[in-house]
Amino acid sequence: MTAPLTSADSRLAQLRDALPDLRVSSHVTDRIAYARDLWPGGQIENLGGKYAPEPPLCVVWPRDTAELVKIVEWAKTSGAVLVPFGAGSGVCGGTMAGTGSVIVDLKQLDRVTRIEPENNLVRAQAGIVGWHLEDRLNMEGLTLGHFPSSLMCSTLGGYLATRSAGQCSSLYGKIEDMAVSLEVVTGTGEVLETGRDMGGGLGPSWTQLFIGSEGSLGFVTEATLKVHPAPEHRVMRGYGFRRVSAGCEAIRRLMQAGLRPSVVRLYDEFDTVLARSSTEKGSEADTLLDAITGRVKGSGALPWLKRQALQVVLARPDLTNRMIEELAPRVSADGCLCIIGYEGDRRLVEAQAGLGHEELIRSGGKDLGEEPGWHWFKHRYAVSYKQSKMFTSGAFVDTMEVAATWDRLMDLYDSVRKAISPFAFVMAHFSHAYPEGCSIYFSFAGPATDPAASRQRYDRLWSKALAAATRAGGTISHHHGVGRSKAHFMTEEHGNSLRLLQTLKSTFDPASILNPGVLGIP
Amino acid sequence: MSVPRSEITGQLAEAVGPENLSSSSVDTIAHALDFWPRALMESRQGAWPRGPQWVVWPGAAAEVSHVLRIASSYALPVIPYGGGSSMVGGASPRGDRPWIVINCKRMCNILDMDEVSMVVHVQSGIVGVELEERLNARGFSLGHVPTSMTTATLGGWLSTQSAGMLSSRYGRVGDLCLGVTAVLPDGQVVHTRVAPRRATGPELAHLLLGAEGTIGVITAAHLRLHRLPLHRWFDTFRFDEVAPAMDALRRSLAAGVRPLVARIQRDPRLRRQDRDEDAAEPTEAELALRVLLMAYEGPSELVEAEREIVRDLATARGGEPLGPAPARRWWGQRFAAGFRMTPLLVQDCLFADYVELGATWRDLPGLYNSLEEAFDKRGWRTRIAVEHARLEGASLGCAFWGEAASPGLALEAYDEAWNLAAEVCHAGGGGLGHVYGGGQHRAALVDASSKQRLALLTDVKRKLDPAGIMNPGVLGT
Amino acid sequence: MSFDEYKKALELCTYCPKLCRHTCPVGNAERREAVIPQAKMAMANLVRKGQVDLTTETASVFYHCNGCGLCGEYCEHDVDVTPALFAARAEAVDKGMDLPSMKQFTERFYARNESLFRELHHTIEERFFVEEAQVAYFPSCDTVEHSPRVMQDTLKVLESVGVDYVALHDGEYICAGYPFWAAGLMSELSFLAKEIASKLSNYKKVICDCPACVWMMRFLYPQLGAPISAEVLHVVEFMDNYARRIEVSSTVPEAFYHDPCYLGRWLGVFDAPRRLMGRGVREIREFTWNRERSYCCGGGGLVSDNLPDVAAKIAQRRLEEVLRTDVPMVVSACATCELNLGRQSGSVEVVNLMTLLARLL
Repeated sequence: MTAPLTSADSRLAQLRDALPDLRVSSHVTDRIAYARDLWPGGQIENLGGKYAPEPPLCVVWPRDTAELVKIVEWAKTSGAVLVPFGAGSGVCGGTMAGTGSVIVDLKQLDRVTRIEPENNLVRAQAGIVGWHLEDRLNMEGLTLGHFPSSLMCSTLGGYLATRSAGQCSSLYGKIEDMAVSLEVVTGTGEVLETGRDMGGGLGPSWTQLFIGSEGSLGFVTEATLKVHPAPEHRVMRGYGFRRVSAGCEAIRRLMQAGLRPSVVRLYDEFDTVLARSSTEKGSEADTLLDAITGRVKGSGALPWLKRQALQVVLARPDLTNRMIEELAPRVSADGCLCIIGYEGDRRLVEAQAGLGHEELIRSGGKDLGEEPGWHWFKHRYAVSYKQSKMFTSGAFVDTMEVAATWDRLMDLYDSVRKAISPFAFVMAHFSHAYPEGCSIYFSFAGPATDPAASRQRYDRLWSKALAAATRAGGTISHHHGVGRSKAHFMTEEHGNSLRLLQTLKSTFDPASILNPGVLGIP
Repeated sequence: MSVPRSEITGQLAEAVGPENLSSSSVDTIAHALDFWPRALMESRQGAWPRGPQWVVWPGAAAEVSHVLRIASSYALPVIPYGGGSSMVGGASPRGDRPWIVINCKRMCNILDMDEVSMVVHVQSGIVGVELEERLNARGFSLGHVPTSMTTATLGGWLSTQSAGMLSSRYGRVGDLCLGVTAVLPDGQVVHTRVAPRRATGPELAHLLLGAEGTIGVITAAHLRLHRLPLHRWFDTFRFDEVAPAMDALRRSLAAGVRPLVARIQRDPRLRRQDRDEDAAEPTEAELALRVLLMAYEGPSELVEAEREIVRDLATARGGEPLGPAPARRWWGQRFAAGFRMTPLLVQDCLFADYVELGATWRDLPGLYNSLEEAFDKRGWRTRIAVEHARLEGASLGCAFWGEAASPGLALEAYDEAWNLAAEVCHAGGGGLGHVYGGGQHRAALVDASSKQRLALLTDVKRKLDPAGIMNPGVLGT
Repeated sequence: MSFDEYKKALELCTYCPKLCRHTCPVGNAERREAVIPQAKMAMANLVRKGQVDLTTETASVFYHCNGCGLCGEYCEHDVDVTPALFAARAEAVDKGMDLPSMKQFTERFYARNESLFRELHHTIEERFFVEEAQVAYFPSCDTVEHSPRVMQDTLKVLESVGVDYVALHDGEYICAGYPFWAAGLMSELSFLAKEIASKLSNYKKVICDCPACVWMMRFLYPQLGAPISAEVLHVVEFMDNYARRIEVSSTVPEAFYHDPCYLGRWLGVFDAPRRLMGRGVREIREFTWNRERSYCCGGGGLVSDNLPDVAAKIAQRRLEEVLRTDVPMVVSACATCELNLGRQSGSVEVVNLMTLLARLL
């Protein structure tokens, strides 16, 4: 499975010669571990027996920016391909550049360089795991305010590379709203500071041009980010809306009323069924499997029976989707669940919570009290654990996060749902709300007992869904990024402005040594 | 190098229509200068500058495209022109070459108004105040209010990434922009996709925002709006010195307050023009005082909470509440600053300009004082305000003026003053060129790190503008 | 449990988005994807399924684990990584693919045992050879080898609260066999466990100063068919009954308390050591990662023997928080923790709880 290194040996020898002090590994365990990220397509391949089909040539760990520059210089002359790697939690194949690529693991650059509470700024290196950065800030009574569900298994560099968002983005913004300046090593070997500590300055914002470049223009080594005092007060509440369209209208009004909630989450009928069932059972590790099969068959604890039930359910997703559509209004008298949260200074939180509450009731929301809000808050990282059980039960799961302005949001929701339904059981929630629009997060599950067939189903699903999204005027990704899995949709997404991206690439990485293929740029 | 002028004139006429093209002296004179004080001073001492060879008024992106193709084929330098209010020479022709000025103001329509999402799609040639008034008529507001509002266009704002008086609440103009349409030097029209937020690569609009016309001509943009507020609240606090006022402001922002306006400056009641005729001269102590001017918008319960937070923080730091009146008075004259420089510039021996720099909170008090002191030592006057306050820092807007021994020496003194400002700024950790853009003037004055970043613009520009037609000479290109 | 019996856990980890990775002391120290919990478990799974050959190379990652269990605190699949990876090590040993540094492990274990046994009887006081004693004291290998004074101090504190009926156990071993478990040498472990169990079952209570010994004896021995009829306690558990009788003549203003993995997370003993420490320390400082989330000292899982550089980095990371303050002391209740932390602590004193109390009496 892991091909022996032959002609690659010479390149490896070259690297060791050129940079004898560099930590390099071509150990089989490293080549396997670094061959993948969390792209569900890869997980389906895994089910088919291919865990790491295209392992890289080797892994290197630069200890500082200077060493990274040397690596880039070497790659320029040797034609090697470099791929930046944080914690490998990307879901789009962003780090999978194939055999022959050199993985550059940035985790040796993992320090918090300085914390400046008097400026509300932190400077940290790119290889630090998000959770550790937040930990360190918490010790000083500060917070970054960035809470992606991958917080425990992703790095700052990864956030900046993709334009990630956390659960509280409605208040604190996405990572691109937090970052003030980056230190980047470009594909020409130049070390750039993209901005200043105090934003602004002459010319285009290189900070905004490097954020989201997914390692195609340069590798981020350090960043200056805004921080906030840790919130002294937090309010969480749940509301119910008869249909998701009513809830969507309500959260639009809320965001346009001049309020700044931290959390805004509206679950569609299907997602509400799951969220409510886990509340009712009170079980923290409730899975999609349990919820669906519980609803469909009332089956008990027998794992084998549950698995069979799941296969039945997933084999005809169109039927399942339709059935739940019928069921949904009858499932819960409370309707679609909407979670709202505020945090920060006590006075501001209380004022906003009061105003927000009035607004949502006025929009037809049913007050479900604090409990649903706090339940979500307590279990907000739990959902990521569910995918494992699905894969090991012979199903695939994935998510698609798109966004649009409010005027086309329900249309986006309907189109993408319709596109996915024939292939997979699908549910969605609306989150990351802004005054001008919102993101929709679709979760879907399909059968994977025949990995080859599933992979086909999976690819077709994505094609149809992204086409539907772009037709409906949405963007193909709100915060996961493009990687390689959506690269073929970049033309639809950007139209002829893609030329600007190509110009950036030819400026900052003329030799095409940095993560070629990501974002669809060779 | 000779250029076939009549041939070009013919082609340009074809592109925009003969009635939208002019080489008459009236038009070339009008487009020869912007509001760069140095150039204005020069024009008073020497001749009025030459001006462009052609001025065109395209009505749509397609016409701009045609013009740029012509310019590219003849390697003619082009300036995208909005209101010509640039304070840094970004909109005035330079050198001897035959320039084409693309006056964008015919492209001034609102193309689409999405009241559900509160997003407007509007052409770039619309004058700021007109855009705001048209939005107000429908119950919306853009929230971008720089002093240039009555003369500058949206395109000018976007290309310089301007910040207005309300930036603490609504951000710079780039924060309000969801996407742009622009014409590249080879004539290609590009649209960056509109979405509230994305993760589909770099935010490509940012190659044009702040590029000051060196990459292409912005012809339209999508902007986010908010509902026109029914009410505004004001508060003023008086401090003995600037540092505690800055501290109170910083903490307010850290607590989550999003004020409409937050400024620190001298007491507005002390302006000579605004005082009653028989009022006494202000004492030195009065002049040394600084006020924190606050304004708020939003739901009244939320505003009440914000005002309380600011009041508590300000009074804890020695701020004396003066009530809403002084702040409201400043608001009533908020555009007056735009009129202050001209009376100075029309006096032969005087020189004046406005330094704007940004710094983090920690460096601001020191910079404030060292700027004042450095200029004072040279006998030059300053008036400094703290504006564009954000979580991590703020801008210092420093108006300066002085008198030279003779008109001829005024330009020299102007340059000296700027060098002094740059020196003080860099030594104190500040960044020049924060709000007005760089134009022809600032690129040479910024520090090495900023120069490195500007060099990147030249690198990118080389690929998109091989003939070097887009506003060459601006931002160090 | 045999390797195959961990199938469910191995499968779940293979498909997991690695949410626990930020906790792994070895993963953090090496910054290497191949040694985060998910990757180690996935490798074990690939080997189990025959998709990857078991070689010394592929098996090497099984040894990059402290056995600390911190990853389990962030797992909602109820996966217990430590026994799964130790079982993988057993598989590797079985097939001759264990680490080179693991060769001749059994011989070295017994040689060390013998020399430390002699050492123990040389240093410990005679009066603890009382034949009729009902309560036996079972000091651990690291105590005897690296901090023998802890034994003296423990006995001193016991005496001060009126417990003068504790005797040294009369067996020949200074280790309950954790190293065998961590080395995957299950039959050696079984043999040792039966030997020890038969001797210790003659007592009513056994007091150990090593939390891993206690865990082994309480939970693993019964599974190996070697249950001990005596009540096995850690010295802190035993001493807690007499906490209020401890009278100090001086106190220490402040010190950090480090929860040893096996005492805290594995045995659930958090408050007793704090109560005892509170007798002599006015302010107990808590690590941010404390109690169930306590970060490993780097000493578990044979990492300090096989990968000493990694163990050092782990200890350094643990101590970062202390070195940012001017608190001069870290207290713990496990000789292995004290040894590993002490090697990296610089001017900060790392001291055993019993030693501290004895000092302050």
